Amino acid sequence: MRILGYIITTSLLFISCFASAQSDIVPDTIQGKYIPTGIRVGVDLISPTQAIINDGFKGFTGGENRELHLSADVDFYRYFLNFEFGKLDREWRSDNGIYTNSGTFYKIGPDVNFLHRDPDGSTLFFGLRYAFANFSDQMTYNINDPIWGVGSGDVHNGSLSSNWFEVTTGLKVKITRILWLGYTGRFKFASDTFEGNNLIPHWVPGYGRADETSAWGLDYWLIIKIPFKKDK
Amino acid sequence: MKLNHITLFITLLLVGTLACEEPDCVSELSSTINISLYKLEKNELDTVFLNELKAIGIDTALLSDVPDVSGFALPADPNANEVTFVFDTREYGIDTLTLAYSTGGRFISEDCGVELLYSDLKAVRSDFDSISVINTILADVVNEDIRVYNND
Repeated sequence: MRILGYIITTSLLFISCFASAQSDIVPDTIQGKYIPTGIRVGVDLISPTQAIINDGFKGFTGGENRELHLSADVDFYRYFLNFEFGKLDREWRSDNGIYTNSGTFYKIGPDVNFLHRDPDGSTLFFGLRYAFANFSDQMTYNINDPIWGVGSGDVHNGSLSSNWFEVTTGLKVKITRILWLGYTGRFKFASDTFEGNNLIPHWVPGYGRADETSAWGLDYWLIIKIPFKKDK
Repeated sequence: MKLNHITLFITLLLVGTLACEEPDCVSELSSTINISLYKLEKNELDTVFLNELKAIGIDTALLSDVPDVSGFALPADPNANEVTFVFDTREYGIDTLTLAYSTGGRFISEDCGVELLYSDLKAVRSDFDSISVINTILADVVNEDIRVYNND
């Protein structure tokens, strides 16, 4: 799995560089270049697509994995300030138990755009994020012990929080004046693994498996840009 | 150019969607409480002839008529937070030991399922001369959780 993560991230970097090389270059302007030109609001399509693959269209409302991940960024010349918000309600089922996790996460951080002279405003970026999540989880389990017989039990964590950091890279491309598409690849690290908890969490919303001290992630964004002024 | 971008992004979406997490089925936890017998004055391993070992709540004996025993692997009860064992040895007669613990766990994966975690192990009642809990979380890598001491 980790090897797949390396392959995906390496591929994304190559694709990003390829896209960068093809861009038309326009000169910098000095005056007013730090004035924001608009706000881009995006929704991650990977979780809804996974939900549809697993549960059909009822995955949006009644499936076992409901995750919403939104992002917003504002440009300041070649720099962007990013804010991300997400909400997770997910259930994992196995032969001997059910684990449920519910929570929200927030991420904030800057990106540097290496395509800032692109006439379309497309962005090839590298950035950092500080992220934190608040969540609760519960596990119910069935017991079938050769000595003690059958039974059941449940454990839960009422309120947990976790924070971590991310290194991000990706591409956001203008399709029409309003509509953009993009992706963000991210390396996440320094999350708490909760080894001391009675119920050791399986998942941290926005991060992934809680027992991993680092993780890879990929978001695919459908983006709407709201310009602050009309294009000339 | 735009068509190339759209094709590229659809490819990436498929890659991202199919790149699911698949954890390994590795368990380091245990449901066995390892007890070692020691001589109190010499602080060295003791060896006994076990007539019978029973757990309260289980009709049949866990072990019987075992010579030269210096330790036991006792099963924690997943349905309770306390379990009492009765030891009948040729050297020391009948002794009881009641152990308490917290039962928790973790969900490994949909394929691997749930594993239980026994922690906060403590001895709450005992007929032995002395008891020492040296490990409070049951794990596969640990081979001694409790030391039981008897006077010669």
